[in-house]
Amino acid sequence: MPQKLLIADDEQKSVVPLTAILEAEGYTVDAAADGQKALDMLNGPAGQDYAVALVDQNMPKLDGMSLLTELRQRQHPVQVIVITGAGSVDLAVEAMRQGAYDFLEKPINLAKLKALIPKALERAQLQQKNAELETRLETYTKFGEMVGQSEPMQAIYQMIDRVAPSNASVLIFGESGTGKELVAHALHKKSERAKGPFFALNCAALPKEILENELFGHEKGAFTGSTNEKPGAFEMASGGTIFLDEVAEMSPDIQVKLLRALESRMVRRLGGKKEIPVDIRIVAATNKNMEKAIADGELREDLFYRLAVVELDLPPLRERGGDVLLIAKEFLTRFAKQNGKKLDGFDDAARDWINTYPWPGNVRELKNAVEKAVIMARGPKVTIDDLASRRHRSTGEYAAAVSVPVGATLAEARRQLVLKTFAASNGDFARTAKTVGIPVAEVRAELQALLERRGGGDAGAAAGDDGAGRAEEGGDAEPPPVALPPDAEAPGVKPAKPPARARKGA
Amino acid sequence: MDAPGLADLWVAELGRLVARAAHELNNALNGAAMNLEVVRLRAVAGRDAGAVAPFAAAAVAEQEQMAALAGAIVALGRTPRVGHPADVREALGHTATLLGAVVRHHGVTIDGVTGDPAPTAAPAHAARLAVAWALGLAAEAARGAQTADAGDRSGVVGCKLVADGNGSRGAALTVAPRPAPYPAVPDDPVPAVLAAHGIQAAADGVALRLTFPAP
Repeated sequence: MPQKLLIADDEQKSVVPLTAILEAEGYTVDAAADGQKALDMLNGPAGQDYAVALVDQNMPKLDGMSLLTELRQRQHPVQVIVITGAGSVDLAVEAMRQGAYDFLEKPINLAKLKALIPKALERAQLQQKNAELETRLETYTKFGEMVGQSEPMQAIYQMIDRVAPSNASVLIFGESGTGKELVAHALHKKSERAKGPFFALNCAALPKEILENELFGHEKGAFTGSTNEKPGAFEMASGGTIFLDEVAEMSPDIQVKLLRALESRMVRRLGGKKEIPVDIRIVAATNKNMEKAIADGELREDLFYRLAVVELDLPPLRERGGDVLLIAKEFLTRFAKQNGKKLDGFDDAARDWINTYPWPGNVRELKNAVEKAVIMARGPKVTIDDLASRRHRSTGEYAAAVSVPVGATLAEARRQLVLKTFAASNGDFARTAKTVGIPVAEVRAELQALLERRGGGDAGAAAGDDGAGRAEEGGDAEPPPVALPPDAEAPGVKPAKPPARARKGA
Repeated sequence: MDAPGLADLWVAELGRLVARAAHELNNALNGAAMNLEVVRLRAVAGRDAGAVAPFAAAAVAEQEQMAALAGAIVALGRTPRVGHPADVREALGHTATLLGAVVRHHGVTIDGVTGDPAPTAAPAHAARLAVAWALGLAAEAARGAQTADAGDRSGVVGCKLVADGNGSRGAALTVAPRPAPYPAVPDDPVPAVLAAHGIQAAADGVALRLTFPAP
């Protein structure tokens, strides 16, 4: 841990004795005769060794406050104590606002300074430990641009580490939005080709002719309008990696050309005669069932084997456990910064929903939801209303999540499931019973138990037909009180609409 | 509202000078206190006197600096003595002591503060105001130039005081900042008030020349 002190002051008559006093206290002290020299020392190779800087406000070249501002902009961890011979409340307030540890006036009260330095050192050490922990945590939760610490992702990271250094083609399988391009990028970055180019092409997004042109390039006059020669992706990415997304969507004749290029490591431009050698690694991706694609004749089997030297299965977000929230938080931080908003995470209901919603669109859907939520958020925390889209609400997915903490009983889990399903069904006993797979009487019993726990059991105290939405808004897994009609066990019977007074009180 | 008179302008100028010098007084006081603390820590039986003496000397020097600054403030603030003509040389010396201590932090020194007494018929407050005003502008110009250059070149305020030996022509003080030229005489009430008391201020693009009436 750094223990060194730096005195930044042009008053040598003060610096020399202060250095002697602090050295007598056991500190190692260096001095800088102006603000710029102090900044250079703090940003120099041994700059991180300084834990505390005693900075005079009045210095040539760079004054104390400007030095402090520079240090904070560069996020230097040194604790700054600003010292001035012309103290003013404004300056003291500004210094503290800029992140100074403390502010002292000359003549320096030595007893105060001697008491202050150990505290500043302690803070510096604490901040350093925090930074180290954050770095370690980041190493654990991040891999290149990917975020996640779940078991399936740890396996993916290990696989990338093993495969990246080789030249083998890699075929990445995964649903749309799972981050296949990020994996391809990580493979490139961790390979010896990292200094070479990374070229990504989506085979489904381009018409056949354009894709062929993009891959192999063309000679001047190869087709109408080709007034210049143009190298293709194979040539431009030579020495690097080409990522072919949705590779199974490629037309059969391009597949032949691609296979030939992979086997011979030579390409020929459209309209060209000469073979051009290329040094390329192919990483391809698909969200298709390859066996079916081969059986249906959509993908050449020989190309498949050439591409799938190593296969990598990217798990969908719903199978990545706690990664969902981790990724959501990462997006929240990123988008809050981009939008200049200060947000203190997600509220409980939003967090529950993020954890339980199946995210069929995977990371892409999560990213879009969080970006929208950040824009919409009005309070200090992102709520479920900020997050969930119109589509989520209309399909019932909004209310469909049930969050059961580890340690809950089966009965509790069942109760939550029944109540949530009841809320999502808009208060339909029969549909709830059918969905959950229990008799209607048991649904009724769960609701009756709920009413009793709320101290009512009053069949007249009722909720409305918007119960599902409101239960979510409150972050409560339980639906609001409902009226239980006498014939509620009959299939398809919904709860009676409550009187206005009861609805208001609910 | 009436235009500010000589007394108003001088009190304001002196206030600015003292406020800036207060920082230097604190610096000197701090230096003295720090050095004395080292003397206290090291002045123990058996300790080499060489480890103490420099700090004792520095403490004394700091106290002398404090005395010089305090002396200049007292001298400039003192009520002029009846029957004694004001002395431009004296005003220049005290002003340079206060201002010089401040602007050295910005790499600016005040040079040429020497010469014989230069009595003038102008009121003492007018002579003091003229000198402080001229040096203040020149110091800002020298500091600004140094900052703009962003190099290690020091700024200098060069002063040249010519006192008329037989007193028939009065004294002349030329103030020239380097490396920057003297700025144009600002559009403020000081030159007019000085002129009303017989002191002329004229800038030629390089320096400012103040001429004081003979006693």
